[in-house]
Amino acid sequence: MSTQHQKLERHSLGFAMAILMVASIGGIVEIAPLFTIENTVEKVEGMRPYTPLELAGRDIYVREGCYACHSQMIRTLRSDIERYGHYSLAAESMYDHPFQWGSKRTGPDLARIGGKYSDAWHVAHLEAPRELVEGSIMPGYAFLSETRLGTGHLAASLTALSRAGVPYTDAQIENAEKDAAWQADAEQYFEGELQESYGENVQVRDYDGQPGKLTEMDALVAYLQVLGTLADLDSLNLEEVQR
Amino acid sequence: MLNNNTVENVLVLFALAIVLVGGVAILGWGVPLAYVLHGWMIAIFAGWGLIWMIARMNEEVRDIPLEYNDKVTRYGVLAALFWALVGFTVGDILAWQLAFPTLNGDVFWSNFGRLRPVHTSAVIFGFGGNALIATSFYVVQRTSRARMASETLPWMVFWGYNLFMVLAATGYPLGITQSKEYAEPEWYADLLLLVVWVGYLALYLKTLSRRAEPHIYVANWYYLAFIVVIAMLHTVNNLSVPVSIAYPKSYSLFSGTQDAMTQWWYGHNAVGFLLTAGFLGMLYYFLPKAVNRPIYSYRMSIVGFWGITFLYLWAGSHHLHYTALPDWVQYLGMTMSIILLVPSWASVFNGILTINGAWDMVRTDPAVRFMMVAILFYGLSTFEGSFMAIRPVNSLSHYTDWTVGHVHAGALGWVAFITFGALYKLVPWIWKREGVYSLRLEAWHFWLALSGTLIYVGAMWNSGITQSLMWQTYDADGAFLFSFLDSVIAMHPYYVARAIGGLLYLIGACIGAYNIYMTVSGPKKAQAREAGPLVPQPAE
Amino acid sequence: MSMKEKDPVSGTDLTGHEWDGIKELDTPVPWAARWALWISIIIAALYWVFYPSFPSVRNYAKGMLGYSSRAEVATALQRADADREMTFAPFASGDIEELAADPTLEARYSASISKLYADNCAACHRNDLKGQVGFPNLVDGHWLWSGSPEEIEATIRYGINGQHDDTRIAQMLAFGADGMIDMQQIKEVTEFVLSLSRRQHDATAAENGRLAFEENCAACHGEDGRGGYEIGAPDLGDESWIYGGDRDAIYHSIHFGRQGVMPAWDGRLSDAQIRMLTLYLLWNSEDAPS
Ligand code: HEC
Ligand code: HEC
Ligand code: HEC
Ligand code: HEM
Ligand code: HEM
Ligand SMILES: [Ca+2]
Ligand SMILES: [Ca+2]
Ligand SMILES: [Cu+2]
Repeated sequence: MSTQHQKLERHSLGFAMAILMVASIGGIVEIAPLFTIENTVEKVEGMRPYTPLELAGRDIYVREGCYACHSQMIRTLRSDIERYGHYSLAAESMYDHPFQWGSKRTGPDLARIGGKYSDAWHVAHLEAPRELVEGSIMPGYAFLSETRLGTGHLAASLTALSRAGVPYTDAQIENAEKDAAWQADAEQYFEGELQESYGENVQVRDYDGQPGKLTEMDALVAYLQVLGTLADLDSLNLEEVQR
Repeated sequence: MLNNNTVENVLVLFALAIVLVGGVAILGWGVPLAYVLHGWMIAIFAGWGLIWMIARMNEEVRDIPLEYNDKVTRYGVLAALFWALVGFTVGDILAWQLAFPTLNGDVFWSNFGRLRPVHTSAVIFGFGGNALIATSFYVVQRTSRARMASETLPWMVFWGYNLFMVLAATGYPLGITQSKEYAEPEWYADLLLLVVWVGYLALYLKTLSRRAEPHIYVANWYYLAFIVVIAMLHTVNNLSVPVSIAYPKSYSLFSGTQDAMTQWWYGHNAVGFLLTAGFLGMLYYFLPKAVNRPIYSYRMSIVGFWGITFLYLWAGSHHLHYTALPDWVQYLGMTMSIILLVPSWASVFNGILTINGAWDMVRTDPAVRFMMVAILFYGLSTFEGSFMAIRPVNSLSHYTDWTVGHVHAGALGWVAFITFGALYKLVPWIWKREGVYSLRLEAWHFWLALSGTLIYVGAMWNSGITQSLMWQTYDADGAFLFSFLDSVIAMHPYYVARAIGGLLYLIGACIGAYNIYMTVSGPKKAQAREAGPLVPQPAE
Repeated sequence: MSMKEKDPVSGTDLTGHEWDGIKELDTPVPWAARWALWISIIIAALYWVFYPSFPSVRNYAKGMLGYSSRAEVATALQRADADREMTFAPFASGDIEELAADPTLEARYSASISKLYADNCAACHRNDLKGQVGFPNLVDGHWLWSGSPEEIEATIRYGINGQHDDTRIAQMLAFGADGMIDMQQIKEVTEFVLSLSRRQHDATAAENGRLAFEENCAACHGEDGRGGYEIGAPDLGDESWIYGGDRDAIYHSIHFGRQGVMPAWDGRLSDAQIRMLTLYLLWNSEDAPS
C-alpha cells in the first residue's frame, strides 16, 4: 500500500484528481438517484405552487432566518406526529426553493402551522411574542406590520422559479404583482380570479388587520397560514408512500 | 516584458475586470440599498486590485526571490483573529439572547434569526477559513522548500476571500441571505468565492509542483483535500437562479428533498473538509514541529486521510434522519458515519502518539497543551458524531441542543484549540520574534478557553437531553407529560450557563489576541530562523 | 529497506523522508485499527443487507427486513392508540352531557389534558384559561355560545369565523366604517354600552345612545344588551369583555366591527381529544358545580 501511495505523493495534480474522484462518489450515489427514483417525491393531491403573496411571505421567512429556530419537518416519529400532525411528505416541499426543513427546534415545528391559529393571533404574536405567550423567547417582528410589501420583483421571482422547475404559467407570472395585492384585499373582490388561477384552496383576505395597506406582515401570515394545508393527506396510500 | 507569469497576470487581470463589471452592474442596477452598497464594495475592491496590478506591470521583472513569502500569512493571521473576536462576540450575544430574549432589541437587524448566520459564518469561514489560508501558505512553502508560485495570487486569494466574508457578514443583518445553513451568502457573493477559490487551487497546485521535496507531505494532502472538496461542494450546493441583477435574491436550483440532501451533503462536508481536514493539515505540521517528534505512523496517515476523504461525503444524510428523505439514503449515511469513526480516530492516535517522547512539553508549553486538548476534543466530537448518526440516537438528539453541544465540542474544543496552538507557534516565526510575549497569558488563555468549553458543552448536553426527554415523554395514560413551552422555559438555566461559558471563552480569546498583538509589536529576534535552503528547480 | 534510519526514542524505523525537519515513523497500522475497520464495515454491511440501502437508477435495495420508517411509525401509532383505548375510553364515544355529569373523571384526567390544552389552546386563551385581549376568558362563567357542553364541543370542533365549512359565524358589523351610524351616534352608543355594565360613563350621552342601540344593536345583543346565544353576540352588561371593555375598545368594536377567529380543531385533534378539552373547560369554569 505505502509504496503505491508514494508514487501518488509525487504528483500534485494527480493527487488532486485522486481526491476529487474519491470524494465525488458519495454524492453521486446519494444525490443523483433522488432525481431518478420515481417515488422519492410522492404523488399527492392538492400541491400547488405558492401564490405571489405566499411566495413573498416565504421570502420574508427566508430573509429573517426563521429556520434558525423553527423546523418545517415532522419526522416519522410518534412524538413528532402526535404533537405536530401527519409526518411531512417530500411532496409538501417540492416547490420549496430552497427547502426550509431546519435543524433546530428552539421554537415548535411549523410544517403544519397553517390554520392552527388565526391571522390576528399571528400578527399579535409576531409583533410581540412575549406579550402573547408567557415564557416565549422568540424575537419580536413589529417592523413587518409597518413595512409595505415590495411587489416590484414578484414577476421576476416567478420567472426565476419557473426556470428552476416550478410550473408557473405565463399568465400567473404576468399577473404576479396584481395577484399579490388581490390576495390581501379585505373586500375579496378577486377571490374568484385567484382561485381560478391557483386553485380552490387559495385564501383571500386582509391578513394583517390593516385593510387597504399591503404590508410584509400580510405576506408572512399568508405564508404561515398555507403551511401544511395543501396536500390532501387522506388520499395517501401507505403502500405507495413507503420508500 | 514577457515572463513566465504573463499568462497568470492576464488571467488575474481578466478575473478582476469581470468582478469589476459585476460590481458596477450591481451598484448601477441594484434596487435594495444594502445590495447597492455591496456593489460598491465589490467594485472598489476589484478596481483597486486592477490599479495595483497595472502599476506593477511597469515594474522591472524580477526572478522569483529565493525566500519564503510570509507577508500574506501575517495578514491572514490578523484577519483570523479579527473574525474570531467578531464571531465569538456575536456567538455570546446570541447565547444571551436565548437566555434573555429582550436582548433581541426587536429591531430588524439585531434579532436572533439574522445574527445567527453572522456568528456561524464569522467563526467557520472568517476565523477558520482565514486560519487555514494563512497556515496553508506557510506550510506549503516550508514542506515544499519553495516560495509561493505567484506574487499576486496570494493577495487576490486573501483579499477576495475577506471581501466575501464582509459581504456575508454585512448582508445577513440587512436581510441578504439564502437561508441555507453555512451557505447563506447570495449568488453574487457565491460567484466571487468561486473565482477566489479557483485562484487558491491553482496557486496551491502550482506551488506544490514547484517543490524541491520529492514527496508531498501529509499536511498538504489535507490542505489540498480541503481546497478541492470545498470547491466541489460550494459549486453544487449554491446552484441557484437569481431573480435579476437588480435584486440580491435568488432561488436555489433544487427544491425540497433533493435540495435538503444536497445541502447536508454540503453541510456535513463543510464540517469534514473545512473544520476537519483543513485543521488536520494544520495539526500534521504544527504538532510535530512543536514537540519536535516524528509523526507516529506514516501508514496511519494514509488510512486516516483516504478514509476521511472517501467516507465523509456519504455521511451527510445523518442530518436528515426520519425526515422525508427516503430511508435508503438515511441508512447509507448512518452506516458510513459509523465506519467514519475508524479513520477519524486513526488521526487522533496518530496525533496523540506523536507526542510520545515529549510529554513534558504538555506541561511546559501552553501551545502544545492547546494542541493536545484539541486532539482529545476531536476524538470526543467524532465519537459523539458517529454515535449521533445512529438513527435511534438521532431521534433523541436531532433538533435539540445536543447537536449544538456536539458542534461546539468540535468547534471550540478542536477547531479553535488547534488554531490557537498553531498560532502561538506561528506568530513568533513569521514576525521573527524570540517567542510569544507572555507564556503566562498564554496559559490563562488556555484555562479560560478550556473551562469555557466545558461549561458550554456540559450545559448543552444537559439541555439537549432535557429537551428531547420533555418532547417525547408520555404519562401513564399516553398523553404528553410536557407542553412544548414547558421545554422552552426549562432551558433557561442552561442557556444562562452557556452564555457564561461563552463569555469565559471570549475573554480567553481577547487575552490571546492581546498576547499576539504584544508579540508582534515587540522586538525582533536577532537572527532569523529558516530551515532548509530554497532551491530553484522543482521536483516534478 | 533495512538500512533505514531508526527513531532513537521509540526504536521504530523512520520512512526516510523529511520535510522542514519533520520526519515520519514507519509504524505499521496497529491491529486494533485494522480490526475496528473490519468490524465497522461488517456492521455496516449487515445493515445494507437487512435495511434499505444502495440505489440503482430507478430503484433501491429494499433490504431483507422490508423495513420502512413510514410503515413502522404507522404501526407505532396504532399501538399507541390501542394502548390508550382503555385509558381514554370514556371520551371516545360517550355522550358529552353524561361525561360532564361524571364527577370521577376530573381528578383522574385533568393533569393529562392540561398539556393538550397548553400545546393547542394556551397560545390564545392562556394557560390559566383566563384569555387575553382579543381572546375570551373561558372560565369566568360567561359564555358566548350558551356554555352547554354540546355547544362548547361544537365551538372547539368547528371554530368561530374560521376556515371550516361548518364554522360558527359571529360578525360584529362595522357600524362606523361602513357608515351605518354617524360618529356622534357611535360616541353616544359607546357611553350607553358603558352604562350597561355600570362603568364610568357620560349619563346624558348614554341616554341619547339608547335609541340608536335599540335600533341597531338589540337585534343581536338583545334589548337589554344581555346577549344573544344564537349568534355569539356577547353580553354587554357583564364584566367579561373580549376586547378589554374600556371606552376605546368599545368604540373600536362599534366603529370597525369585530370578527374574532377561533380556529377549528376538527381534523387536527381527535374526537376524544376535543371532548377532553370540552370537559377540561367545564371543570375549570367558575360556574362549574364543584
Ligand atoms: C429565538 C428563536 C426564534 C426565532 C428566531 C423565531 N421564533 Fe418563532 N417561536 C420561538 C419559540 C420559542 C416559540 C414558542 C413560544 C411562542 O409561541 O412564542 C415560537 C413560536 C412560533 C409560532 C407558534 C408556533 C406554535 O405552534 O405555537 C410561530 C407561528 C412562529 N414562532 C413563527 C416564527 C416566524 C415566522 C419567525 C421568523 C420571522 C420566527 N418564529 C422566529 C422561537 C423563535
Ligand atoms: C388563534 C387563537 C385561538 C386558539 C388557538 C384557540 N382559541 Fe378558542 N377562541 C378564540 C377566539 C378569538 C374566540 C372568540 C371568538 C369570538 O370572538 O367570537 C374563541 C372562543 C372559544 C370558545 C367559545 C367561548 C364561549 O364563550 O362560548 C371556546 C369554548 C374556545 N374558544 C375553546 C378553545 C379551545 C378548547 C382551544 C384549544 C383546542 C382553543 N379555544 C384555541 C381564539 C382561539
Ligand atoms: C349582526 C349581529 C350584531 C349586531 C347588529 C351588533 N353586534 Fe356587537 N357583536 C356581535 C358579535 C358576534 C360580537 C362578538 C365579535 C367577536 O367575537 O369578535 C360583538 C361584539 C361587540 C362588542 C365587543 C364585546 C367585547 O367583549 O369586547 C361590543 C362593544 C359590541 N358588540 C357592541 C355593539 C353595538 C353597540 C352594536 C350596535 C351599534 C352592536 N354591537 C351590534 C354581533 C352584533
Ligand atoms: C466522525 C465524525 C463526525 C460525525 C459522524 C458527525 C455526525 C454528526 C451528526 C449525526 C450531527 C447531527 C445532525 C442532526 O441531527 O441534525 C452532527 C452535527 C454537526 N456536527 Fe458533527 N460529526 C462528526 C464530527 C464533527 C466535527 C469534528 C465537527 C467540528 C466542528 C462537527 C460539526 C458539526 C456541526 C457544525 C453540526 C451541526 C449541523 C447543523 O445542524 O447545523 N462534527 N454531526
Ligand atoms: C465564544 C464562543 C461561542 C459562543 C458563545 C457560541 C454560541 C453559539 C450560539 C448561541 C449558537 C446558536 C445555537 C442555537 O441555535 O441554539 C451557536 C451556533 C453555532 N456555532 Fe457557536 N459559539 C461560539 C463559538 C463557536 C465557534 C468557535 C464555532 C466554529 C468554529 C462555532 C460554530 C457554530 C455553529 C456551526 C453553530 C450552528 C449549530 C447548529 O446549527 O446546530 N461557534 N453558537
Ligand atoms: Ca393588509
Ligand atoms: Ca450561498
Ligand atoms: Cu454531519
